[in-house]
Amino acid sequence: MTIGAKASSSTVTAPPPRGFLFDANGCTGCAACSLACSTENALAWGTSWRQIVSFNPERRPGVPSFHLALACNHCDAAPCVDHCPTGAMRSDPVTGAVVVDEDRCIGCRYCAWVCPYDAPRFEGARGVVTKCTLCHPRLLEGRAPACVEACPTDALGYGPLAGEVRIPGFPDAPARPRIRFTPLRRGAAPPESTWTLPADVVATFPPGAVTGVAGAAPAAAPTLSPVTLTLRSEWPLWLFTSGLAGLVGWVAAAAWSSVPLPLAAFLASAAALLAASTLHLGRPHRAWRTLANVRTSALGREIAGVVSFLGAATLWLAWGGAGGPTVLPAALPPAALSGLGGMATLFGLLALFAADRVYRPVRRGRSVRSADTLLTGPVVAAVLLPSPWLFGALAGLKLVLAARRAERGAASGGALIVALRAASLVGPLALWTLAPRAWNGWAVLLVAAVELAARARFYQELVIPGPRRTAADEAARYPP
Amino acid sequence: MTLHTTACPRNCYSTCTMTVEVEDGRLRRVLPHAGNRATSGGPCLKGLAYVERVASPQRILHPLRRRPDGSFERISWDQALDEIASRLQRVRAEDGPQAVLYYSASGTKGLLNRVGTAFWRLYGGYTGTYGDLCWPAGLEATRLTLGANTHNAPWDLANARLIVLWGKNAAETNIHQMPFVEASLQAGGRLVVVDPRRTETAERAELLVQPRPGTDGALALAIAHVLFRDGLVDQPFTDAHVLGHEEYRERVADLTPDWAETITGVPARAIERLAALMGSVQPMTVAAGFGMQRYANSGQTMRALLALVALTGNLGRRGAGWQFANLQTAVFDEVQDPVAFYPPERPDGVARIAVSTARLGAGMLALRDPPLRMAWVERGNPIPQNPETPTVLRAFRALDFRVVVEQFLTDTAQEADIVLPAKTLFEQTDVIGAYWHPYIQLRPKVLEPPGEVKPESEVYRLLAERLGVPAAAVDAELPGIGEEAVREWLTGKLAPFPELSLERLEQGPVLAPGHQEVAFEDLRFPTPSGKIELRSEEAARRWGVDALPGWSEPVEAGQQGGRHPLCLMTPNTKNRIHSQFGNLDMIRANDPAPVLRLSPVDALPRAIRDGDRVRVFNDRGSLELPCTLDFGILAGCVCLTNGWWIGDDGAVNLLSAGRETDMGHGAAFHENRVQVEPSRG
Repeated sequence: MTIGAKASSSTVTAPPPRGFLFDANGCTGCAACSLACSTENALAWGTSWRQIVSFNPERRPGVPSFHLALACNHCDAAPCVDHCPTGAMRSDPVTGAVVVDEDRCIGCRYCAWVCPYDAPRFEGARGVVTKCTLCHPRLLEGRAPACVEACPTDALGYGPLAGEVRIPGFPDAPARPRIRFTPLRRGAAPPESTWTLPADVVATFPPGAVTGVAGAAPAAAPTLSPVTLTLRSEWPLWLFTSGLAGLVGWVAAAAWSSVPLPLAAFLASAAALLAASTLHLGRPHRAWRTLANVRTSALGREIAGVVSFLGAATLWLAWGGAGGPTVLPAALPPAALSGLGGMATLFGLLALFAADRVYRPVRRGRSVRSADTLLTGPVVAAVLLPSPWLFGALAGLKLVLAARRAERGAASGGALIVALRAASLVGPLALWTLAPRAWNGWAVLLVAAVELAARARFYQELVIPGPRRTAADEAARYPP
Repeated sequence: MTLHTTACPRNCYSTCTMTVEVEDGRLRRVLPHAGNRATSGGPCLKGLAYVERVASPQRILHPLRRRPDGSFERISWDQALDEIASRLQRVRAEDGPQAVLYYSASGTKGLLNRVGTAFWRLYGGYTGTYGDLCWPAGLEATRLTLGANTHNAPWDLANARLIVLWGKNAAETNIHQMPFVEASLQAGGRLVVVDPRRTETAERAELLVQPRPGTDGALALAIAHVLFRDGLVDQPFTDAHVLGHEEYRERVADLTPDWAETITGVPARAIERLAALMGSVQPMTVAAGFGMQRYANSGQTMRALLALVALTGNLGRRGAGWQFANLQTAVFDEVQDPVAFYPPERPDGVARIAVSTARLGAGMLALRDPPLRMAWVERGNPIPQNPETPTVLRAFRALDFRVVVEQFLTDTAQEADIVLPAKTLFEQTDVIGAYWHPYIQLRPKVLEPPGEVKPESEVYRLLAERLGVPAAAVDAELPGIGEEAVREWLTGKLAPFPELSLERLEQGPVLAPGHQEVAFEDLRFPTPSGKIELRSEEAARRWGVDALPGWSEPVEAGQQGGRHPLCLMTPNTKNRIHSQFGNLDMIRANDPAPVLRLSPVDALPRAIRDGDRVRVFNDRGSLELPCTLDFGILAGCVCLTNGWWIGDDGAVNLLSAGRETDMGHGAAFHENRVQVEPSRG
């Protein structure tokens, strides 16, 4: 638009946003797009940023079978950009391509947790996330992305966005992905077949019992497959979040009452926690960058909360909080000191709240979980104080939450967790009644063991949502 | 960085034109090429995987000699050629040159492939094979019926209003046909797929007809019955252009849809519906696949399919016709396929064309006067790919000496005494045709052969020198060493065609001389009668079949029926061309390991669950592999894609029979009955 030009009757409009255009009728799942991506970006043979997601690969009667060829959709409201703690994930102002600045990436993979489309991939050997770049160097030369150019059936296109915003199997998300779909013809009816499987046989194999793709795990170890979440891969976070809840509980108990908390013990615990928190990073030495995006990143806010908590608690203890000797030259008035202790506790609770928020994208359902750290911290405080009434109330709440989840069938091994939680409620209370002196040590051990076990189960049940899961779920309850 | 136009020479319908980018002497990218109207969308994943294939660390780059323990050691070319030459001389002196088997297959297209037989004639003779694994029954049925394997151009399919893909899963085997199917559908065209499997292609169809394998002929006969019964035959067309339609009417008079239902398993009303579609929607194109004509009864089956195209008048027009293999580019052949497959009526005493490709193992073992002592294999992997792998393996192991020219250590190369490193399509210039689209293409040398790779034409020259063949005779038959000599030799082959020259081909694909966009547009058919021959005297005389199309029960149904009740379907997949490409990481990422697909109907009584390991077996062999359930495959059929190597535990020909088709000397190895049980291991 030219400044100062005479106003014309026609309004000047920005060109419509461009993005991927996908015709489900044309795609045969041939994977040429995926290979072209690999070659264009000089990725390791057999790896790619673009994947084929098949809908109904087992060919259930009455359900169409088709494919989605998906990479990054370069969303206008990209959660990976919002939630990247370091600001490494950014949207290119010219092409709109969402790209990773590898020099800033710390390999925390949180972008992969929050992406609905499995687009960010973790390159283990280099410790950073890589992803589809929309071939933006090619776009700047006026060429289509390599995957689009390579599609033998022209099912994949790139241009002004027009068409359906959704198709079965494509995750519904508020990210405003820049992709549009041409839906299947004939109302997505599968072919009328002269032979159909007897209905009683179909019923014998409910959705989920059949994959249609046995042996699908690639033989060659892929380095760019979608990021997955398991306890095995996330054990440092399991230790970190559990330990954080424990330390917040300890600080809270020390600030509330006369529970001892030596500065050295605190500093050692804090150092161990910080170390654990960096262990799962691809690039631990860049961990300090995590504070770059506190504004929009849940992970950034968690780190900020943790740093504030550790800082406030260190100051408090150094000034002689928790009955210890002061190691700082100037003494603090008692009211200010206890105020500082309260602030450390508050920051600790905020850190736990922020830590729980980090897991929202990867846990199914949004309701409060008994393993949430915001509940665990106060439980630890209650057991250390000791405050049987507070402990009974909080541990009882945890038991109810676990029982409700188990009853809804939402948790695998839910009954075991309920049993453990019952034991960790009744055990300490019994100890308190029968042997008040033994209360602390044994109760702390029992509670710690149960909380670690429950938290481990929490990690085992985390799932990064993505198109494969969406396609399987929606095919199972087709028609929508 | 340089860009080059080339073409993919695999044994595949598409024969894509490609633009390749070479950077620092290495293949960097494979890109689409707009100059070929049939493949302008760009090569499939296999073509794109050339980037890995040419540079793979698995590639053989030097001559290898097998050690007694089965491993290989690197040797020099001089060592390799000296040993081969001395073996050849000894065999020739003791048993005559025909004790050497020259076996070449379809691994690479190109005019230079001919230097093989030229060399073996210079050597004094050889034993060769007749017939072919791939397509003879369909080619012969088409030749007998229409006179030639000439079809409308691929893009004309977009003009069809009814497309019948009969036994063809184009989405996997001929992906470039799909945009033309799609164009027809977008314009309101209709698609029917006939296939026992609910294939990728079937997903686009309004109707999927699922006959029992090997019964397509019965289905076609019943459709003809309905066409005659309901007056859907194009009477003026058949009166003028079809020989034998009156007799055929009588032949099918009793072959009702009810009769066909008992044989095919397809409900009679569905047969009526398909017949009504074929008889009323014009123009119709029937595209028949290759797999269906690898049954013992399949020549007659293909003739019965062709009859439907003829009876409905769907020839010589746009959007209409029969598509099997369009051989319009076979202009360089003195004798075209399928006739070129047949053993010569009068052997010339030099080439002993005496082993049926379909019965390679048994045929090799049976030869006398002289028995075979040595084999030379190029462009092929016959041990897992020819029928009855155990017998083929036995036959190769019975020889004194084996030479295999290969890019990778395939199952056949592993059996060799000497392996010679083979070129890729990028490493020597050649000219290739196609069998779907009508373009002749140049495949220029764009890369230096890596390591010590030498093209076969040079290897033969070096061997001829060692064998003392006079230089003049060598020069007359084989191109000289080097790129310039190869181009000169090719120029000679192009000389009869003013339309073709290397310079012209360098610009891109060129339509074959005499190309017909609409086949048989003048409605003159090069058959003995000049008409479409439903009644073929030649069929009866040459092959001993009925002069009219017919159907008989597949052989295996009777032989193996009881103990081995399941039909093992062994189709091609998009991920490989026969046994090529499956060893590459780029392909493995899409298709990591063999999997047997079977119907829940067949899994339930066998207590097989999804993902279980199963044993697939018959009297010829067995395989153990994981399975997955397929709700779309016809009950009674199990499916395992072909082309896995023996070490992958998926080589399907461990189970198949060496058996010829009823015509054309094809291989009936898709007729393969098995039993499946849970693996005990």
